Amino acid sequence: MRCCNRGILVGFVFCVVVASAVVLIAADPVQLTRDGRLKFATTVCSNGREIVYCELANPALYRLMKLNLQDRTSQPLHPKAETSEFDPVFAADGKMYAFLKTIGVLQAAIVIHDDMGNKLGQVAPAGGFSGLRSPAIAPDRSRVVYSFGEGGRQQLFSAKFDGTERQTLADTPGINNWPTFSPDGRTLVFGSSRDADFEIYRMNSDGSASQRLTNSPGQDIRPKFSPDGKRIAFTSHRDGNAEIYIMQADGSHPQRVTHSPERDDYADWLPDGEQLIIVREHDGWHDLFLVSAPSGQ
Amino acid sequence: MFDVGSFRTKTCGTGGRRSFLRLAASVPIGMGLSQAVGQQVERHGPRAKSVIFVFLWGAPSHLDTCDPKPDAPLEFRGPFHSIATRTPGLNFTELLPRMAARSDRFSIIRTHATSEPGHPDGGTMALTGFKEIPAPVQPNFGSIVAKHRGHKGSLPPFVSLARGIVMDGGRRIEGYGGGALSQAYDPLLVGCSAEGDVEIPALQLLDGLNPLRIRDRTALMRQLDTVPRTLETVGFDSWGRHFQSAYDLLLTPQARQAFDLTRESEQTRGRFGHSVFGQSSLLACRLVEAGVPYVQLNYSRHVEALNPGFEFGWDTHLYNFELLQDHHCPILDRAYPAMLDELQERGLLDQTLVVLMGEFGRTPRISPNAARDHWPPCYFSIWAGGGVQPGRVIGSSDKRGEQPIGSPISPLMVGTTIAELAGLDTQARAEMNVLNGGQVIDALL
Repeated sequence: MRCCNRGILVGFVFCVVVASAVVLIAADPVQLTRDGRLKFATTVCSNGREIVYCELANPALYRLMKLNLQDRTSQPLHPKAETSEFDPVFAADGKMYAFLKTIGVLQAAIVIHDDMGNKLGQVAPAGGFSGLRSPAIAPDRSRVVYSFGEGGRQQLFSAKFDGTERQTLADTPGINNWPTFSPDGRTLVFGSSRDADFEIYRMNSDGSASQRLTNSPGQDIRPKFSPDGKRIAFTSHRDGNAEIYIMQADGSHPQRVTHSPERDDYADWLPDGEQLIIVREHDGWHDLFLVSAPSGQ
Repeated sequence: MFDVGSFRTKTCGTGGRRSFLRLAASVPIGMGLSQAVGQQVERHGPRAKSVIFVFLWGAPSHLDTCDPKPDAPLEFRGPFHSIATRTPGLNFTELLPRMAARSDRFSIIRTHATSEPGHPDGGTMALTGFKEIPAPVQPNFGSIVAKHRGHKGSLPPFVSLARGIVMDGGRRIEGYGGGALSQAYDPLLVGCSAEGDVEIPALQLLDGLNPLRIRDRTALMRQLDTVPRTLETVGFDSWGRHFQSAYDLLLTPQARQAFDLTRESEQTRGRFGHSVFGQSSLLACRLVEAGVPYVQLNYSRHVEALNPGFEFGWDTHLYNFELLQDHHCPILDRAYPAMLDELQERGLLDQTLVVLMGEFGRTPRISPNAARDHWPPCYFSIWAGGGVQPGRVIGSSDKRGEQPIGSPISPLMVGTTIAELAGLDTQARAEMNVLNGGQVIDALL
């Protein structure tokens, strides 16, 4: 009997140790790429099976890459691209994506493709030095929202995929950037310097009812709604360097996710809402990592 | 009199630029700055055995990097937070935390001004101290030091780290080399990849010597074995001095080692960042350690950012805030502090002058397309090591970063100070007939 109890005890301890190890492993960042090139702007696609991101392919070219999460291999999304492409974003259902493409000397347009790579439209820049920024596709795939500089300000606009029917969503002093839709399409979160350095704001998708969500020294940028729309992941410099944070969708309960002496940035959610893809600078390299997202409240 | 009006420098082409800068020709640009104009600094030999001139080609925004104006109106100050440095009263933006943490190792000048609003002219002015026209083009600061020191051993006296002569679009910058001193004092051009592979373009001009990968010594020697046969084919007349120089240094083990970044630990290489600029910065340290007197470390070969086929430079007419945040500042903020640390740890910082600057600043008022254009009347430089007193803040710009308060500091004064610290005193400069009229920035010493 005593032996049996000891066996149960040993088994219990073993289970606790194993469970702890599993938790630790799950909490550890998992490195997904190993080429180390400068990387930006992650976007999850294919129901979480693939990640599209931007890398500095050579000293003169930004290139879009697609990472298969199963075999951890990366391939160029557009192998024949000869000019820089960057800021990729997929629609929530993965059926189309948008990105920025350099189309001339200091000229960059938003290009929209379906998931087969067929071009659906292009939002062209204005004349002269002109480029659009940070596209986001509405969940109903009817419009694209983007940031664009005019009159010394960087505003948020919404337009059809050919650039027509442009509507102004955010027209304030300062820089407005990184708009992202909530899963239901009713809300946008974005970064803005209208009040100070970059902070995160939300507003209705028609541009009404703007509300500030963060207030910290240093920039809070690149917000992304979680798949259930209840939380927002973002990058913050509040603790001295770029780290990933999560807060509730109303801005409450900010929680630090990453703790790295180097830079963690460009987070996007996997569909399970429990993990984030990030770009981590580590020992001078830049790679994609998978990190656990705390469950929050 | 120094009369600065407004600037219209919205295009980067050679045509259409207009500047309303007027400098009274009768008074040098920096008159009044120094209380000891022409004063000789007492010394025994050069304070700087070597110079690393870090050229932020394309011109970084001073407001978004080292001269933030957090109290300026929103249309000027930009979106970045201002952080304290280790130097009392000196703030940088949050994009440069590592540099801020090392500000006690360098001094900063925030009152530079140049008369040249475009890249080709501004580049030549920044590298020579003089306008490109009238001919002849004056020599690069590095060429002056190279002539003064001479070509000793197998290492060249002047190395420019880039895959070619720095360019603005298709136009090369005439102040890249020896100019009036002759091509004999042009730099040896050396390229370095993000992976640390070193290329010497001069050797590519000969058949049988393709882009050189120094890390592969066996292949290198095999390639070099073909050179005599190649020479027999092409003739010795076409074997220019630079090819000889490159050939000589590659045949010398000590010289080859200076170019071989694989001799550094992975930790050291990572500290600089795996970017072209990061690994080039490490290479600059190795070249200085090996005895090269002058290294011009170019951030990029081209000024433009996001132009098809061109490297990403600091000319951020478009996406200024995005490029600084995502690309340029993370690279710079890793490589430059690592360079200071590395030189310090190798005991080289005291004898190596490190100067970091662009060719001008960028518009304090945010441009219509939410970026920043050229701004010649006000920009910054950072000086470390080699006879410079660290921790000083020299001069300041006005509330919006538009104009220097007090007398501005010219590129000619930059070159004169570099030459002075490298051992060319007033007499040596006069005998060489270079940097005429230049004054030393005494506040640095």
